[in-house]
Amino acid sequence: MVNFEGGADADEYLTKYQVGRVDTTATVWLGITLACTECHDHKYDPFTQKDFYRFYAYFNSIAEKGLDGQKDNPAPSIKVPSPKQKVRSEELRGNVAALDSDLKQQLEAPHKQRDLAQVAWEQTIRKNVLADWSAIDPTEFSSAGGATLKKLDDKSILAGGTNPDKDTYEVVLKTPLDRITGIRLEALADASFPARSSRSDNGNFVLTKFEAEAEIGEVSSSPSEQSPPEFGVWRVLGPFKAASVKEAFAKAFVPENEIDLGKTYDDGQLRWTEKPDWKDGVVQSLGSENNSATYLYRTIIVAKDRQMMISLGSDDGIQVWLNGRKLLANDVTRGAAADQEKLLLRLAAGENKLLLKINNGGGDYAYYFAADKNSVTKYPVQFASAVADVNQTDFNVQSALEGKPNKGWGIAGYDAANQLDHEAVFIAKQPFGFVGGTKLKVRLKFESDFKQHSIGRFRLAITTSDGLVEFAALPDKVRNILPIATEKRTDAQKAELTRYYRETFVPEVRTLMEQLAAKRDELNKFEAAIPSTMVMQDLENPRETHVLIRGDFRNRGDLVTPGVPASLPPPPTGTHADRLALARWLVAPENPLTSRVTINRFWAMFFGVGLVKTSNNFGVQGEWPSHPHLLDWLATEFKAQHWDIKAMQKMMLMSATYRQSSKVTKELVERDPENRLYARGPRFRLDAEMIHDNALAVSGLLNPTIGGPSVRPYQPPGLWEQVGFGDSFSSQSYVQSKGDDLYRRGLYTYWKRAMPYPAFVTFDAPTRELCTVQRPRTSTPLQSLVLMNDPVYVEAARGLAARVMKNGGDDVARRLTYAFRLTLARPPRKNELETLERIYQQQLQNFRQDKAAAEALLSVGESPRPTGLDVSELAAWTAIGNILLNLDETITKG
Amino acid sequence: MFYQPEFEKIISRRAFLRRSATGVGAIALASLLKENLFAGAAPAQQSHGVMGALHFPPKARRVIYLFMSGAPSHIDLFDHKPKLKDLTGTELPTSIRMGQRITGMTSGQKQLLCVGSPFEFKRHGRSGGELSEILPHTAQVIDDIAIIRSLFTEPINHDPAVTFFATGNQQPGRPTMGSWISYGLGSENKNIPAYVVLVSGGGGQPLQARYWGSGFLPSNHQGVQFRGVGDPVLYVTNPKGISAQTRRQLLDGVQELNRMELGELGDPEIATRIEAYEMAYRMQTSVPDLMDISKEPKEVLDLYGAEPGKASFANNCLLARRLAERDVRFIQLVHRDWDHHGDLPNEIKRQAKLTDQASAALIMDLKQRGLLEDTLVIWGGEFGRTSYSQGEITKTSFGRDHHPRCFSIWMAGGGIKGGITLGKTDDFGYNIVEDPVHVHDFHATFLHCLGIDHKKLTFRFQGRDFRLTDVSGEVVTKLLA
Repeated sequence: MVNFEGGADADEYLTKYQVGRVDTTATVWLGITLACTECHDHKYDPFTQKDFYRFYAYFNSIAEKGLDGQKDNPAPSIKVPSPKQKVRSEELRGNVAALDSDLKQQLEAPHKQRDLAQVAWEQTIRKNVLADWSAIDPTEFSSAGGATLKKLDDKSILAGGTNPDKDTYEVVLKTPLDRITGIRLEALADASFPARSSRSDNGNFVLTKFEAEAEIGEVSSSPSEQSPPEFGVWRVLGPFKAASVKEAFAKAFVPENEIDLGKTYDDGQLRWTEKPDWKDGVVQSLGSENNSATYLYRTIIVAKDRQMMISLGSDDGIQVWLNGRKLLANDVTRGAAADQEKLLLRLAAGENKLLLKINNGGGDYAYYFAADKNSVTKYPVQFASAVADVNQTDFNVQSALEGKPNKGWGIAGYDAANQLDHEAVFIAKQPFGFVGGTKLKVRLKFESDFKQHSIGRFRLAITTSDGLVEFAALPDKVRNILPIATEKRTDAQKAELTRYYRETFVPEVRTLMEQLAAKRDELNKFEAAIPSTMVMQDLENPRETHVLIRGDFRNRGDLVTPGVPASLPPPPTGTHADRLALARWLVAPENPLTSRVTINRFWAMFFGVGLVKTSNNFGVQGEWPSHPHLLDWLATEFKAQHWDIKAMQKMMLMSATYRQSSKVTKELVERDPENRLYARGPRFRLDAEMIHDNALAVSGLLNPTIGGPSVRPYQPPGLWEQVGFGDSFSSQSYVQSKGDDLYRRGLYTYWKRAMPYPAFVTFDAPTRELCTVQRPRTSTPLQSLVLMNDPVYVEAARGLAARVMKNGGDDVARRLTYAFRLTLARPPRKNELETLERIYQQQLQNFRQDKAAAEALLSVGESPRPTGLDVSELAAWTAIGNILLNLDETITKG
Repeated sequence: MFYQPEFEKIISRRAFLRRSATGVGAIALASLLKENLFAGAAPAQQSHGVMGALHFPPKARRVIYLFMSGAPSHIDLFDHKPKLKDLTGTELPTSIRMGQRITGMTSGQKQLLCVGSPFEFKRHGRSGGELSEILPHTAQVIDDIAIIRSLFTEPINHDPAVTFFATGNQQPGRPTMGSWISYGLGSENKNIPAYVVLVSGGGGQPLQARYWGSGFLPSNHQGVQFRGVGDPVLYVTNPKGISAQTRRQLLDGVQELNRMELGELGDPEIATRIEAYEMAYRMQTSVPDLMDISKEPKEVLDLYGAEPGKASFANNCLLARRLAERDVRFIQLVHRDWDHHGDLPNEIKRQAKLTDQASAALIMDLKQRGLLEDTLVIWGGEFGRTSYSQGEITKTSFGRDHHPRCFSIWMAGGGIKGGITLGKTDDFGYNIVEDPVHVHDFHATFLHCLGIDHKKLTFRFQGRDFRLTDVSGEVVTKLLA
């Protein structure tokens, strides 16, 4: 059993898998309780703890993971395609490879026309980012470290005088502009510096933090214009159910940029409803629907354009639109609380439309909303990203936004080639500023451990270009390359940019990419459908094996090599000690156990009890063989017959001992209740799967197909789901098979250890958690309930009924005899026939009087009902079938 | 379970052949086992299971085990840690953690910051037992229950820990508590299995049927799930078109033919099968009747917070009482979703709300019916939760990871001293400082209440005599009435 519990220790489970293998191998082939020696030497048999771990070492080379199997087969596994699938798979792989190489060519080969177009594209972008800027004349500027700042004619600021180890510059800029999208910082070289490009000796600087604050420029609004905003009532729509929390977040259940309050959704199940009671400033519950999304909508009316700060919280994810424009998307898992999100709303005069979408994975489901009704006049600018023409390794300008100690923007200024002008652009999350003018306070911090690493001369500029927003949306890699001058880009950077350009803008390339994606998808789907199977595979470098003291995986003792228990004959010397050697040793002529243990198990299959009753234990604690010479003879004969299982089975089944009558007398019961002396033939209940197969065979429904994936017969609903963990793991909900698959042999029934097929467990099928070579045999009322009421057996009874009516002759006695022989392989005795005939007549009358009951009974099971047969008669025969399938003799062999 | 299984009869016959000259079956078995297992023991009450006589006079005749799957936090329910509240946000001292193995979910965390319970604790009742404010109903029965604050276990993850608590071993394959009881004591009710399981709650850690499985014991000792929806017991309902009367007619046919076969062959197994069919028929009427709580008086439904027709822990608690009234030996309730790695303050409140009232109601109801005297009630999960937070601590939220070194459960009823709190943990609720109780000790104690010496109830498998307490276990006498 492979584990995937969160937080479990992989090593612990790797150990447990090997322990399981040792136990299983030792029990099945050797009939020894080697499992006892996991923690200590065996108390009774000649096995030591070292023997255990040497045996364990054979398996400790398997290429598996300790935690695995969340979905599909755990490693190691292989795909097992049919010959046809193999051909198709290779063909698809060929197609993909051809398209792939074609695409590579298209992306990489020089192409005059495309390259020219790319240059034009780059220029546009560079113009947006690097050209369309207004440099602003600073009105106030200061240095916290005491440097003398001087404004130059080109609007730049030059630092001189005191050169502190750390410094912070604060600059105030006034601009009539609103909706500012970015700030550009130029770090300019100056001849007054020791190494031109900064105030430090080596020419480098580290801008550890870049901050800006926007403030309203001129307070022009009169008090009457500050009238409070009017909030509309909350309206809510949902919950919309999704397959997963991801889907709930991502899927647009309604057109999200255009709300229609009159529309209904989910076949009229969901409509917008008003929530006049909902209060702002408290966490408001949205119910408890798992994997769902709910929309919240309200209007906000303001007299004049203004900005408003809102505080939001959500359980779990949240998205926000204002007037159809998306302002926020945060896909998180959390409990709702105030201030989880702060958002600036730019409200236009008149009605504004605010839409929230809250999605929930599991557990509580809630949101929080509060608005600062005062008009906002000042706020810190939030930046989405930053780019620079040069970024020193580990000192990317992006980190100047994060303000981590000893991080920031550096330019590798110690390299003379970089002792030039540089620039960085900081792109805002939302356009900022105020109608009528904005006052910007910008702070540049130089607080790294590198002394005097301050920019010496700088200039600030702003832009309102939407192009910057587009630029911010480019992939990181591309955004970082673009500001770099063409001649300074590395080959890899050039290739990256060309690749991005062609993938994005060249239609032929796009078409090719789509074709490739489609083909790849086809290949993946095709290969995913090829069945896989778990295999044993050795690691290139096998793990070391130690004796584990007291069996504790953390407590390692002596190092051991693979080997068999010392008290058993050794494998031939000179062979490589691997699993193949172990397998050969198991069937080597000098191995005294394998043939005895195996033949004893076959004997137990046919006679109910082995010659050695404890077929899992041939040690001194096991039982002495009832017929030691017979066991020896069978074991040697098995080897002499070259391990021919079929021949051995035939011999046992044709023996006089096996073919005796199983009838017992009181005297026999008393003298030999378990029939260990074989004075009569064996008689015992069939195993779970055989009971199932027998009923299907009798009914004519059995589908004898060999092999293929497991099947899922009828099972009461909800069993798997009640214990399940959700669909991130395989087989958490029960999907019943259809058609012929319902009638496969029991050994093909899907086995889920967490909740095994109940009808089999009831008949003593082991849960398959521990190696079991001897099943207990009980007879319980729950078994009776299965045979009486499980649809498998009710449908089988109907199948038998139809078979009898079609092929059993015309009169009741003949039909009964036929049914009896089909089920029990013998003709009925006179009294048996009389009983059945009486009940048949009684049931026929029953079902003639109650046709509805007859119809109902015949509707059990998905196999088509035979046509042209009288309903009441068929129901009466189904009732007889039910009796026959419930007889002790039917489920008993002998 | 509720009849003589073939497996045991085989043992008895073999033994009989070796030792006696007359008689077959259960009587021989019982007397034999008495001879073997209980030599020297004072004669005590008889059992209906493999044990001929009990080892001690029993205090409890049946068990109701309320299993809280996922592991409820002891710090927020039972084990008051005022100092931990003051230490919220500080690093857990290494002198407390002592290199303790922690799970893969928090082992990557840079810091293990202490977090106190957001809930108030108060003393209640004559005994002055201390409980969290989110268990107001349990507070009302505080004088009837014994809180153990010093239980500890070995595994650190759910599946092995649940398996350990249920079977005394981390790896699957051994019988659960209820199976041992069914095997050892058998049933006193011929119409209902000896070991019944009721599941409630959704989400959280998955369950495994083996949490009520019989392991290597014969499968008739496994827990039988009774269900609030669908068939109350799998396949107990007749197929469409087969009325109770028709079923009886068909069953008469089956039995008539089986008796003919018995006459022909004389195999006693056929008689067992005939008996099993009669019991199955009785179950068809007794189980639906048992599961129908709609006829319970309103005040009883209200006491539990039960609502007929709904699947809930409250309904299951009421059903547990009905099962106890019918002398079912081991009644196991499983309630899911106590695994609060995140958002614990809200989640634990939610679970407390779903379970507190009904758990207390069960004690009150059993008591007023005189059933608490001989019914042992157990409430608890598979381990405790950490005194440090998993993930961030915010004003309103934090999480707790798995903690095996100490946890709290409560026991009540047959054989247990009510109104006591046993054991003490350190100021962090991390290590035990007084009266440690290992899971095996707990097992030994609960068996003792039922009149069983834990060392003597064994089953031979793979060459070894296995028992619930493996190779250890001491009865915790301080808990005994």
